[in-house]
Amino acid sequence: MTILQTKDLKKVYGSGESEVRALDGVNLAVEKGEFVAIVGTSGSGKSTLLHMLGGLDRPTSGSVTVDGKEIFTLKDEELTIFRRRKIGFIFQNYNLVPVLNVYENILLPVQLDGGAPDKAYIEDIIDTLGLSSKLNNLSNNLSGGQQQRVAIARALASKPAIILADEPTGNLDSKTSQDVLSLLKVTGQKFSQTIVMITHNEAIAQLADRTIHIEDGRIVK
Amino acid sequence: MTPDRLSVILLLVGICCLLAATIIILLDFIFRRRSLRRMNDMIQAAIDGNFKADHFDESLCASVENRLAEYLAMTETQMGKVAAEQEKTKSLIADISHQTKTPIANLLLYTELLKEEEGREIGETAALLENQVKKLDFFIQSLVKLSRLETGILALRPCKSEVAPLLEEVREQYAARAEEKGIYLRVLSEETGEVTACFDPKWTLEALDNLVDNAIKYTQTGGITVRVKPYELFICIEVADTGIGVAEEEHSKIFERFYRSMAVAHEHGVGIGLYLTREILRQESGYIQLASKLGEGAVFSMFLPKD
Amino acid sequence: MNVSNRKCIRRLSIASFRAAKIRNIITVAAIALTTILFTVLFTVGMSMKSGYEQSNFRMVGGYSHGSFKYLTKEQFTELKDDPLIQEYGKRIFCGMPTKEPFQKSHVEVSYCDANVAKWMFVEPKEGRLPREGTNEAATDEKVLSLLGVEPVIGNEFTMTFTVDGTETTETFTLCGWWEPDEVIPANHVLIPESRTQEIFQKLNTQGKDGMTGTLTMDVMFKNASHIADNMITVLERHGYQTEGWDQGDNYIQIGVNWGYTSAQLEKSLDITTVFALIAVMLLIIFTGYLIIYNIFQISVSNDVRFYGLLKTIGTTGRQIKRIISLQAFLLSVPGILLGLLLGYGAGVIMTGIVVSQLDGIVLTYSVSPVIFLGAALFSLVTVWLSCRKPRKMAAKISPVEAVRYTENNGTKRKNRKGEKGASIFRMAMANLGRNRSKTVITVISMSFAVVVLNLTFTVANGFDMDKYLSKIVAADFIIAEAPYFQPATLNKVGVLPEEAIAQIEALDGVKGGRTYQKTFAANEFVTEEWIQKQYGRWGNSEEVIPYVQQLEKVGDYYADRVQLCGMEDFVLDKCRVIEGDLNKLKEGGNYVAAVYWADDYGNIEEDSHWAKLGDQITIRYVEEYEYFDPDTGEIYAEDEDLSDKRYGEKAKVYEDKVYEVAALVNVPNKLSYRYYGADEFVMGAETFIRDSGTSEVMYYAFDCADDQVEDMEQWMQDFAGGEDSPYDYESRKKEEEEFNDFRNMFMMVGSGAALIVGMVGILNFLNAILTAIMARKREFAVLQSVGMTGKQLNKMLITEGMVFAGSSIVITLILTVVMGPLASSILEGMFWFFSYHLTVTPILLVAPVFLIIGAVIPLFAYHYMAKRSVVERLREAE
Repeated sequence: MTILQTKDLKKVYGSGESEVRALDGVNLAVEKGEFVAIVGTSGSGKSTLLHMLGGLDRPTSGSVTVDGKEIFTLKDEELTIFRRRKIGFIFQNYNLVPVLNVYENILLPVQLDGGAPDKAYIEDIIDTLGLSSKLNNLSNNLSGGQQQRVAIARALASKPAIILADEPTGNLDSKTSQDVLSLLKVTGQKFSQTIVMITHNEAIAQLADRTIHIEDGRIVK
Repeated sequence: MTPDRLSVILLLVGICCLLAATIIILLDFIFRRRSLRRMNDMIQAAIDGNFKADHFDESLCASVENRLAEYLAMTETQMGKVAAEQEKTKSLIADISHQTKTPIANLLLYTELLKEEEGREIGETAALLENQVKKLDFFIQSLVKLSRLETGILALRPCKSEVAPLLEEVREQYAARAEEKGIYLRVLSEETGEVTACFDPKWTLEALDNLVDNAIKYTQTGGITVRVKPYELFICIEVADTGIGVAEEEHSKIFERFYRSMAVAHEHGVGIGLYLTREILRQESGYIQLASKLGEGAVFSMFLPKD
Repeated sequence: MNVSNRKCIRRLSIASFRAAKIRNIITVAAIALTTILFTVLFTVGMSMKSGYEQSNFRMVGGYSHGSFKYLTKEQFTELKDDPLIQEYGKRIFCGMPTKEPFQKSHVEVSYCDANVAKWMFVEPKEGRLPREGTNEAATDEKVLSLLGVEPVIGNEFTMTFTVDGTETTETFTLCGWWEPDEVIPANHVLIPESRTQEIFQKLNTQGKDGMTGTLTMDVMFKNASHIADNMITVLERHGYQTEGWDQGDNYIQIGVNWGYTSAQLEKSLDITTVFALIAVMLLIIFTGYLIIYNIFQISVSNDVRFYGLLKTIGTTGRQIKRIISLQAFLLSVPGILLGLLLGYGAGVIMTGIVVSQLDGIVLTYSVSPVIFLGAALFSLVTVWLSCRKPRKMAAKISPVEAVRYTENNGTKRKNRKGEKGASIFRMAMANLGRNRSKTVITVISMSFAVVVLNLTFTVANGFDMDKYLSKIVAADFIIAEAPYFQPATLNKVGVLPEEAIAQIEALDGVKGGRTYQKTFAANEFVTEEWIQKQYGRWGNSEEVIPYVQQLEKVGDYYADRVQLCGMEDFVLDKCRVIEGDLNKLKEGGNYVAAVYWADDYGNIEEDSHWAKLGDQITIRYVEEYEYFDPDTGEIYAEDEDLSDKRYGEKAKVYEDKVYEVAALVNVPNKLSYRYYGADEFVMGAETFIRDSGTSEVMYYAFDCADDQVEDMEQWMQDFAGGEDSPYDYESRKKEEEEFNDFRNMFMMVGSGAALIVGMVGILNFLNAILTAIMARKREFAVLQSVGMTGKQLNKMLITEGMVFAGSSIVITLILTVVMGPLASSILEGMFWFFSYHLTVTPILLVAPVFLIIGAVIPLFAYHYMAKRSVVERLREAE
């Protein structure tokens, strides 16, 4: 079952001389439960692609279909709500909300949606990610690895259709990186999550079931 | 203010209130009708099997829609799981029939031969027979393990254990074979120290055995290195060989059941070892990762959680 | 040697300065506000000081710092070059006219040089001062009109005046004239010095009065402080003294212009005034500090990474401090200029309002540089104080920490309890908790405004007109000769003629009564003990012995002055009876009522009179006194000159009358003599006229029907309100107006203060909200990326704003209710006509405004922020 599909996705910044084709006709399909790595150098358009997949930015042309819904037919506010229901984000710099403690951060997307959290599920996530002892900590008192684990938990909490990870270990040392990636992989396996991760690091990409290379806004293999 | 005027005002106020109440009730009715109709449509769509969550706003209706979609997806997943299970069983039966056909036919043939050619070259035939039986036995054993594992008859019991003994075991088991083949087997168990992880020792040994067995099988020159890399939350048991390597396209395929690379078709094997290994690790909340390029050796890494 | 890096620092601070537009605008506004407050204070203060001085100068008749009097020419020449003396002027007194048409005026004929003329406000408006060697003279319009001469240059006029006891008649040619100032007591005729000498020679003047023919030197020192000391120093330097004639021939009399408040201030430094001034200044500094500090603190927190970066590349703490100081200074320049401009305007308006409420001060607008320099200086001090802490903070930032710095590092919290998860409301609350001191300061400064506003309303509302009028207003109208209404005029000469009363009584609906005043001598008999007690009340009890010695002793008692008045029934009815019955007075007969005093709150002072109900008292009506020496008791001869002797009075021709005290009363202030000094008895009008033989009406008080009050007011205004009318009147309506004026002034000043404080509060709020939103731009992008909708984000921001506004209001409400009793007792102690009512209306009125602001500002800020896409904002600072 294809959970994520893009059709001829294009994004052009500027026009004329200064035109930059960040994405130049990307066709991509991700199956449910797959762990896909998108690998590319900086400037290859991988971040733009991820933003498009997550509905953070709108393409110049083309479509993105998530869980059977063509997301750019939605209005901005609808898109935001779609995002919190269907997409989990993991950012390079964690992007936790500093005034909230770990538990509140994890529950944030669920509660933004006004839903009651699935307690057993959330506890399972917290347990798997080894965050049980940190629940009352404020996020900026955590180490980078811990913060990213919270971010993973947050992404999983709303049982999204797909998790998008943007260089999740970009700010971490290699040892911590391996841990965070392992957790991402293990939780993905455990909760049958579809994960799309972008990275510039081939070694990290090996973790994925499938690697997609992107260069100059195109998928090369 | 005269009483007349007062009563007129009161009357007006009363009429306004009444009107307002009527409008509110009417609106409420309309809205309720609309919501109910929408829900009805949703359920109809669900029955027809073409339900999709289409509305993404803050309304309760949209939320209900989303929940329904989630529920449907869940049932679908479960139904899918049942179907997959059936499919698995089917393919297992097909695989078994396919995989056992040759050895059984051979066994029958050799038995016929034994019957016909009494007293002549029994030793040779018996050896052949033995070989086929062994092969069958290995296969059946693997299948049994696999099915036990998959059906959960044999649950893994991960517990905190030291990793070093695991490595010692592997060394003992395979040192001779490697030597025989003229390649080295470095098991860096000393460096491991007292690292512990959460795993089922018996099954994890099985998984590791598979990796080392494969490595020896596909390595002609050079050798195999087994080492442990501890991380904060995971430990990694790495089996690195200098063998033929795996093409990138095959990286995920080789972990599938009964998949056998064309490149190694000549080698013995049933394509079940790596699949088994992956399953074992998955059940231990770990995973396996492969880094390799064709012709440049391969590194299989088993990641096991520390606790 | 230091490396020259000032330029670089300057460039850096200007660069980072440009990056913070909103902060700059708010800071400039805050500094301007602070400066406005200071400028208003200084303008009002300085204007009032100079207005007070001006009115004093005009009463004194000049504004020279002081004068050396009765100098010889030699002394004058000797003293004038003293280095202490900045400027001097020469004046020679010649004579004074006393005969028709000048019998009522005080006119001096003298020579004044240009300086003195300027200092005495007698500079010609038309023409010029008289030239030497001519027969010219300059004078004012009043003198000319008395002489019947047209104020035209070149006209001749002749006047007769007395020079050193000898009359002379002189003719002058008018060379200049000016308009006289009503306040200045004397009118002047200025003649040339040469003419004075001619007159002295012609009359062979000896200077017997010790005045004529001598010179007066008016002087100006560097400044108005220590005038007397300066003058004494000048004299001592030249070997003179000013102790007295008996101390030697080198005596020179000096006069210090008491119009200089500073000269007065030296004598009695008013502690409370100084304290109040300091308190106001501190309040302004605090208000300004609250906001400017807040802004800088926030801006430093926002720029922490920037400062961290600067540190990393080798900027020292001192340099960072300089960057911030420089920015503060750059912001101060426009802020202070703007503030001075607006503040002066506001100050001028305020001065007008305040002065109009005060008697005896001329409305002047000071343009003293002290205003501008002072206000600017204080504003700078405030700015400096405000950015001290932020500066220190910025300088201390360690580069490593700076990178990890987020706002709530200050609170050092590690954990947050709560497993309920994050609701929008809880998030908003948590956001406010990030920087508690900022939140608290903002809330305080907002509450502060509302408290001031509420206090103003409470006070103005509590001014109880009924309470005021019921005490102040005794009758609808009181009419009398104008002097009666002048404050503290001890010698009542005005007698209201019967014709005037007759005119009023002829009107419809008038019901009134006369009060007759005492114009004769009368004594009562009291004990020495009582006199001592009274002295203790009014003056120095040590002076009582010489005073008692001067009284005639009759038996055990002393004959002391007594105050008497006769009231008609109408007026008697207006008096408050403490004990007894006034009807006996109305019926005639030998009855009196003893007048007791009451304080502003109406409490009778038990010991303000010695007479008790039912006492028989004796009043001695004295027709003639004889005088005795208090030391020896000897009676002086009738023709003896008593001017330099102590003497006591003894009744020679008199009549004693005995009365019974029929009542103890309190006479409303408006119906009394309006001054105190002697024990007072009230009599019925008949008795008063019968026993004293006089019937001079002090005032006529009357009521009229309610529906006629307006007409009557108009009638009275025409009849007695005019400038040329010899009468004056008071009415209920006038009192109401006066009361309302007072209340309005209070409201105006209070609301103005509340407005300014409120603006500071709102600015603070604006700043807090805006900076909080700007600082969290990226965080909001994150929230949006995890699925927070714009609506939810808005809801959160609005909640934050509402919590700010709401908590200010709640704090104010609590403060108001809790502080109510305290405020009540203080205010009731301050204003007797104050009744405390708990008022929260202003708070409730302000509440929606605050809440709307609390909602609208975040909305705008969000709108501004939302112009940029989530991705753009996410990328920022990466």
